[in-house]
Amino acid sequence: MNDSPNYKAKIRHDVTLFFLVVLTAGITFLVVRFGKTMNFTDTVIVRIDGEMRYQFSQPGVWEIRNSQRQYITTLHYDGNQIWVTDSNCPDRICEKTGRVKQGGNIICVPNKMIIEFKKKDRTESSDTTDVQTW
Amino acid sequence: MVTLGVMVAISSVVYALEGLIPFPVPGGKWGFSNFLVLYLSFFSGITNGIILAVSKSLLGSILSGTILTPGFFMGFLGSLAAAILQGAVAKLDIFGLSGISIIGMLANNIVQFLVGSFLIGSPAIYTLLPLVIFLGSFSALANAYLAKQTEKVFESLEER
Repeated sequence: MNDSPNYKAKIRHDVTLFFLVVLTAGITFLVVRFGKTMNFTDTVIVRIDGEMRYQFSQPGVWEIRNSQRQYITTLHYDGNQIWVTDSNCPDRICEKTGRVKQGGNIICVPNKMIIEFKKKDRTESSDTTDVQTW
Repeated sequence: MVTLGVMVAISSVVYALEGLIPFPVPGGKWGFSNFLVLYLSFFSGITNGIILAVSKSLLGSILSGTILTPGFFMGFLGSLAAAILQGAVAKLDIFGLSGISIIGMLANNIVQFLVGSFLIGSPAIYTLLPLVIFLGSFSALANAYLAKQTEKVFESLEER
């Protein structure tokens, strides 16, 4: 393979691709992780199968159930972070996710469940309006 | 055929065991079981790569007890996409083993997240994609190294 006439070109392409992917993914991760918390409210929403089933604005502990009233998980909210304890699914990925702040989410694919902070409406976010024309 | 069978066995066991290795993204894996899919796609062609990708996903998920779960479909289709794309790009003779491995990692993760977002009916899962791709770039290099070492083993066996 090292005898290939374009071996050096292939290595150059490999290195370029590696740094391109690592830099793009790394920068996007940092933007997603740290750059968007200002776009979220303190309200926690729980979506199951694409539909919003719960909405919490105050700290507390709640049992999350699907539309058939089947238990899925127990959600905790301390006013700043959300996390879940106990789950009906064998993977328990939602439990392993740990504590999540604004901008993060807890996802359970088997139960088609997403727990996340509600995004600000465009009208709530003053910094999204540059000019009012009326 | 015997070689392919051994590869299916090795990658299935790695597939089942690598779930025990901690990964920063909940539910994620490093993807080290893909090094033999990469090896076959690169050195042997798309067909053998696809056979191994399908076999190791089925056998590995049976061993780990995750067969036909949503996670299985994500991994199965991701691995299949990686095998097809790796084999196709290898024929273009533009990238080396590392580049092909990174392309396979991208195909694998993007397809997995597409399937995941379809299953949960939301794009929220994509927030994890940049971190998975960032970490996957390093395991792609590891897989390229392992595939290269596998080639050396087979070369030395042929010389005997």
